[in-house]
Amino acid sequence: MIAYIIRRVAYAVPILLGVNLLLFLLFFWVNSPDDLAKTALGEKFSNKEQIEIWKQEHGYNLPLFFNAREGSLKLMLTQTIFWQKSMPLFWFNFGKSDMDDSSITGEIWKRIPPSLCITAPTFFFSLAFTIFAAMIVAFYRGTYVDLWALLLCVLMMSISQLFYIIGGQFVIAKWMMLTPVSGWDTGIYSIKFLILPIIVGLISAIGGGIRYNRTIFLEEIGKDYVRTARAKGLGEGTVLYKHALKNAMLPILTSVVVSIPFLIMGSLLIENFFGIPGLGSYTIDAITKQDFSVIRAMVFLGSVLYVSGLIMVDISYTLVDPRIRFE
Amino acid sequence: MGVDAWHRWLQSCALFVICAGLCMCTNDPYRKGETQEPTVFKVLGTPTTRLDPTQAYYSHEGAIIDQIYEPPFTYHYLKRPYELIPQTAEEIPQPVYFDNDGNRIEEEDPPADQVARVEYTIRLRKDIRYQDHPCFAKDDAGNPLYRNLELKAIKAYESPNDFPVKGSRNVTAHDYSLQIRRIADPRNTCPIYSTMARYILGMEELNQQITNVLEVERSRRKEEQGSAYNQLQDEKDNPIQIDLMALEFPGCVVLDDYTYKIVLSRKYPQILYWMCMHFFGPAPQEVLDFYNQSAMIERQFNLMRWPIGSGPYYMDYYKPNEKIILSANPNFHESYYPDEKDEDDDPILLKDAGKRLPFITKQVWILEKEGMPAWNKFLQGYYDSSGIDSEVFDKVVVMSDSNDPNLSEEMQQQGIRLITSINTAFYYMKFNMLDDVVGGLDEKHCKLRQALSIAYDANEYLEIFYNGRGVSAQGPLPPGIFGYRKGEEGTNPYTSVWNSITEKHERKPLAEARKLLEEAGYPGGIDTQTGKQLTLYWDTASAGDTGFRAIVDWTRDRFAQLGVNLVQRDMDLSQFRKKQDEGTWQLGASGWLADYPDPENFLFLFYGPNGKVKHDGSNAANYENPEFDELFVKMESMQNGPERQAIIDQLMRIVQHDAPAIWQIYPIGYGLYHEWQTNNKPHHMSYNTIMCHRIDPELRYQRQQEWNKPNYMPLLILLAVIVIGTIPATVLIYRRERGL
Repeated sequence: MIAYIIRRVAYAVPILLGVNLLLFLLFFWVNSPDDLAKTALGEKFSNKEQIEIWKQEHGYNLPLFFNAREGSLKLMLTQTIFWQKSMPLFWFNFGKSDMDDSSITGEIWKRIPPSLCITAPTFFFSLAFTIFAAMIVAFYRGTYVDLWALLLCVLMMSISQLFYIIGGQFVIAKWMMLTPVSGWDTGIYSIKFLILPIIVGLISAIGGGIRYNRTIFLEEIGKDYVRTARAKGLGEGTVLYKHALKNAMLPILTSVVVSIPFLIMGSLLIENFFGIPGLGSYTIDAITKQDFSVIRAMVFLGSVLYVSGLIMVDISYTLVDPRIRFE
Repeated sequence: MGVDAWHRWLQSCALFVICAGLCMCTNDPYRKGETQEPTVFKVLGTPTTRLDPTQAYYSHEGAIIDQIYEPPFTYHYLKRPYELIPQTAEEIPQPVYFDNDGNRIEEEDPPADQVARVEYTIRLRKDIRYQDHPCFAKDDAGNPLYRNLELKAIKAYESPNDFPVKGSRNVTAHDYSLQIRRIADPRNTCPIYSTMARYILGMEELNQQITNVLEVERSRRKEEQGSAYNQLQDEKDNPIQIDLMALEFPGCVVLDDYTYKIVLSRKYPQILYWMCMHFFGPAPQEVLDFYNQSAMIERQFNLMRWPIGSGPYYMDYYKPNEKIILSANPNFHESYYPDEKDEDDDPILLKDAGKRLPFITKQVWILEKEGMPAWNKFLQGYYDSSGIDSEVFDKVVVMSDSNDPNLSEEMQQQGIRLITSINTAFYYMKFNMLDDVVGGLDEKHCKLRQALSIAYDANEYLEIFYNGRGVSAQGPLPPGIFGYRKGEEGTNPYTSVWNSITEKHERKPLAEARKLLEEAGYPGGIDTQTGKQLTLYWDTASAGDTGFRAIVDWTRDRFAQLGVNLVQRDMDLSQFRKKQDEGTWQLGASGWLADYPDPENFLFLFYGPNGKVKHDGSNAANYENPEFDELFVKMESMQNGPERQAIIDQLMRIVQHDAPAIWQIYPIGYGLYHEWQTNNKPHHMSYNTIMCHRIDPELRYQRQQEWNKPNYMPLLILLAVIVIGTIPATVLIYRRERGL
């Protein structure tokens, strides 16, 4: 298994390099270092002289990929924006923000807990709820309960998360006055700020979740071992909870495990609207401010998490299904 | 205990937790007792990024640090037009002029071309002390206590406020001198460096000296480290130390501990306004030494996040992605609420005249990126003041028959007050004067632009897109700035007329615009030379902004009434900037917010040598009229008076005739204040006015309790619906289990 993991990690390196290269090409296709400087300096005072100074001080005065001014090939490759900005990412040195010179690594560490406070409970509650609800819906398959549940799920999936956010803020915070409209605090004081975003996250996730899990359960229910269990005279509840659920876990696991690493990336919309200082709002801010250093770091982190999610899925398969082995 | 008993016990516990949770539910975003103090709660719309006084540029950053740093001068809180008053200086200095031979010019206001050097001597008050800060802490031997620190020694500290020992000292002239030198340090990328280098003697040379030192040191390090050299990483670990005070700089001379002299290379009276800004606040050497330690860099204790000053407040808590707390500085010098006001002001504004400032002991700035949550919290009483988003404007403001804004009944019942004030800003739609079609100073092109200006009905634009929050602009000078003419006197004779009944400027009839267009060679919008319809292009970088698209559509309709076709060319920001730099555009939207209350700060936008394409300046329209330029040079360095007013009148007539832009609006700011916040008068030049506001925390707390009683009814209805909804399903199970 260790050899397999090492091999997968090694495969990840060219993927990450490719992602980085692509990001560089795309970003500098539409932006130039001058644009970054103008954004950082502000339109009002950015003239050519100021722009050159900013580029010099932020390492954007170098060529993008190849520095022909240098004497040796090594320097030609290393004294470039791509090398200087990209290579440190591989040892998780994310450097400084282009806009405020703050340490990106420090910011990421600070922002992971607020993001997790929202995404982790939302994820696990919605997982538990959707599995449970999907089984109930599967239990009532073919009846009006199934029909109405599906209709409700499709309706919930069709509504934008933004609507849930604004609606939640209006109903729960403004009309019922049960939670603050938005905000954040530290420690135990953060609980009151978590309730509404978690409810909103949960509501916006359950429609799709129930439908997906219901499909899996229905597929399982049609299999021979379920028929056998029923033939033995087991009740429908026992068949579903003790037999179908266990076997349905494999496809559910695929979608669940790959999502777990992404929990730390937070939620872009929810964090923005509820004023939660997580990684989601960090990413949105970076995009708005064209902070290339932060965008680069977040894309790199996203790629790393995706690759690790896939590796975790493979590992988890072997844990839940002994028939699967690493090769 | 059996399984069933466990289940029952767990169910009871769950029910208890839910009930207790619901009873404890509150929409109060603050901790208990927080609102019962004289604390002001304000909205921070965007996270601050740079609080170093050399680098802070945006208004939301100024709103924070201008309350911490004290430049030598500031503005009177109540008087309008804006009046300079000393802050840490003893008085406003008078300029001393010298000619080319170094002889003093005795004349009070000599012509600019005779002046070769100007000196301002600033005498500081001796009772100004810095906030308590660890950078000033000393050991028993009198040496700085916190130097050469190891990271592990400070790892537990969340902020510089956590250091156990702190100190303070008087603010001196050396600190002001150091800060001015920091403007020239390229590592600080100070946004006003280029402007200051034009006026302050030797600033460019100082910048060159620092650049040379940096270049030599960086080359040395690069050679030493080879391909592993990474400038940013290297200077993070090992910052290049330069003793700025040791470098030669004739632009700022320290005469003694409390006196320094600013030396300008040309006449520039506006320097006093610049010296009201944080760029000219004091920077103690101790804080630079303190923050320049690698442990501090690692912990991000720096001037960008933890500014230090002598102002009424100090940085108590800094998490810009969550909130910023400023607390009253116990070392703040004696400062009193003003005892003079404007004639039009409510006398209640002088209720606290002569009382010691600040009245508010703490400011809590909470990040609210979206407008709606902030607005809802204002209505719940959790913010003390608010602006008005256009989405809610109609619910908040009702226009009277005379078109005066009044608050809606609902707002009045909540005790909310509305205060309006004209911003020292203006918006305009510029023409590219280098363009063959819309540019040029010949009469035909001027008539074309005048015709388009008439078609662009600013009053209708204001009603549709600004809820009437503004005044139709007649030129580049907004109200409140010296030189502005109000009423009929200020009418742009080429495009507008004065309506004495509505007391508003109105655009001339469209027939007049059509006539002008015909004289310009485009009868009915048709080019007489080509026979084709005149098509103009508006280059934008609106990124699909639907609000902006509506403005474009409206403009297109207005121009279409003259038979002129308007095409929007939307592009990404990079392309847009490139077109601006190259001057390959036709029409563009712009705005200008005053840096200081002087006509020069507006009219320089049309000064030829400031042209964007030719000179990389702020004159984005690339307007160049020798007559205007000559008058501008004369006006810019004059003192306010009838002579300057006469020149401004001439300048205004020239730009009104040449119409390098369609003068759109002077925006009016609408502010809402709860009844518990008093002493409010909007100030568009200075941000350090919160210390003058007063909060009645008891009244606030009382109102918050009244307005925020939880309403459980919808929850009960929802529960009832769920219970009723499950009945048929339960019946179904029952029937299925029993095979019915």
